Amino acid sequence: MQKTITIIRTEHRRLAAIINCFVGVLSDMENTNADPDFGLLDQVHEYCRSFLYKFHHPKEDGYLFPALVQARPDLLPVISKLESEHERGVTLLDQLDQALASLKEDPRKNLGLYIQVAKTYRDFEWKHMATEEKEILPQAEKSIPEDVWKELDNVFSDHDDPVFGDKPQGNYENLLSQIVNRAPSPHGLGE
Amino acid sequence: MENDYIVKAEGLQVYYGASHVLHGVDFSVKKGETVSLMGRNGMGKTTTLRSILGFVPPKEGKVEIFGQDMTGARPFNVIKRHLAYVPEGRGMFHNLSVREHLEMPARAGMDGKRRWTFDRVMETFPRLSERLDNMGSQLSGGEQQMLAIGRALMTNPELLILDEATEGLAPLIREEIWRIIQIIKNDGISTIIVDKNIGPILDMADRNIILVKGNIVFEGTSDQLREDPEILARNIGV
Ligand SMILES: Nc1ncnc2c1ncn2[C@@H]1O[C@H](COP(=O)(O)OP(=O)(O)OP(=O)(O)O)[C@@H](O)[C@H]1O
Ligand SMILES: [Fe+2]
Ligand SMILES: [Fe+2]
Ligand SMILES: [Mg+2]
Repeated sequence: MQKTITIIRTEHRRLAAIINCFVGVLSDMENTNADPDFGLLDQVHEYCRSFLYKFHHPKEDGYLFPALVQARPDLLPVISKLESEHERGVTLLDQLDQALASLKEDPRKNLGLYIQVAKTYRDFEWKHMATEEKEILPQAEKSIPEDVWKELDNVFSDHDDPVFGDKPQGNYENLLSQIVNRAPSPHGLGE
Repeated sequence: MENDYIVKAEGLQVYYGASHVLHGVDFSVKKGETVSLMGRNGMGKTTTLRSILGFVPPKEGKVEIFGQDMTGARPFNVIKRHLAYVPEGRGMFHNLSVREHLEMPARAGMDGKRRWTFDRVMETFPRLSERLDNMGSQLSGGEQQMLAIGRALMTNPELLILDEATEGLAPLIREEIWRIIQIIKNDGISTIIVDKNIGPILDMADRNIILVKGNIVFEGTSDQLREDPEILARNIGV
């Protein structure tokens, strides 16, 4: 297994777990009429934004996808679709941010809308990641030449690389821990 | 090289009373290796670990730890040789605080160094630092698991053995445990992982072993398992 692929899979797993927990917490909130924990919601938004868009997508758009298109020009259509989904994801996250702002203004009135946007976002990202895992990673593994993998593995493991900013790996892992610790039981370790 | 092995077990035949549970299991871990042990319920994973550690001595076969014959030795004497065991169910003491759980087993590693200190464990498990005065019995399942792993690290082991570390935990808490196991792996500590979550195991393990009814039916890399999903489907049912 190429290191790059393992890194991408792990990042997908973490994001899926975060978003899933997030929607679970929201559903509980709706059922129990509990007040939203805005600190937690802010952290989840921050994770999605910083991790996904500053850390994860650049690896795919900037390195993995170009290397795969080079090796497999026939995959260009699906890769273009995934790239445009990265942009769509940013738009959806902007919408989620707006819904959060409304939620903060009037939690009772706007929780339903926020949950709806959150679920749309979850379904969207899940589908996107599933396509990458089923259609892209296996093909990449088979078709990208060994010397290109070496380059990718180097870039992906060097997390202090200017491409990804200063210690992003450590930062987003801290944020993950904070979310796990704060999310209420049974989803996380919080109260 | 022979002395690259931390554990080298050969031909383990293990019985519980009259019931024959392991039928000649060969199992080894080299320095720096992450090895997974997979199999459905009751196939002998825990028994393999327990026979290596001396809890259930094999009727036949041989267990070497760092090249030394430890077949039939007592668990305390086996574990003392720089192994750490986090059993199924975590083995907490209900009336000890988190701090006591961590301070009691603290010792230097094989090289005489203490790479894992109380502070480093606190840094790795921020949650535990908020629970230092809580008793084992007051912790949630996820916190207990973190404590069990933290306590194991305080012994500065060469080999960490994790039996079902993520069992019964919510998906996000599991991810946090996997993240920590990855840190441990990156630190150069060898690990044996028994777990039912195939995805993270395949991402982490250098070598995988599948047990069916006390027999090894597969041994190989994660790539091999990914390339031939039939192996997992047949033997584990995923
Ligand atoms: N103390 C015991 N006395 C008698 N039989 C036992 C004992 N412990 C385990 N067994 C039996 O030995 C077999 C192997 O059990 P073991 O606990 O090693 O399986 P396992 O692969 O770890 O399963 P699980 O996934 O459920 O933890 C099973 O048939 C089990 O019922
Ligand atoms: Fe993507
Ligand atoms: Fe992705
Ligand atoms: Mg078991």
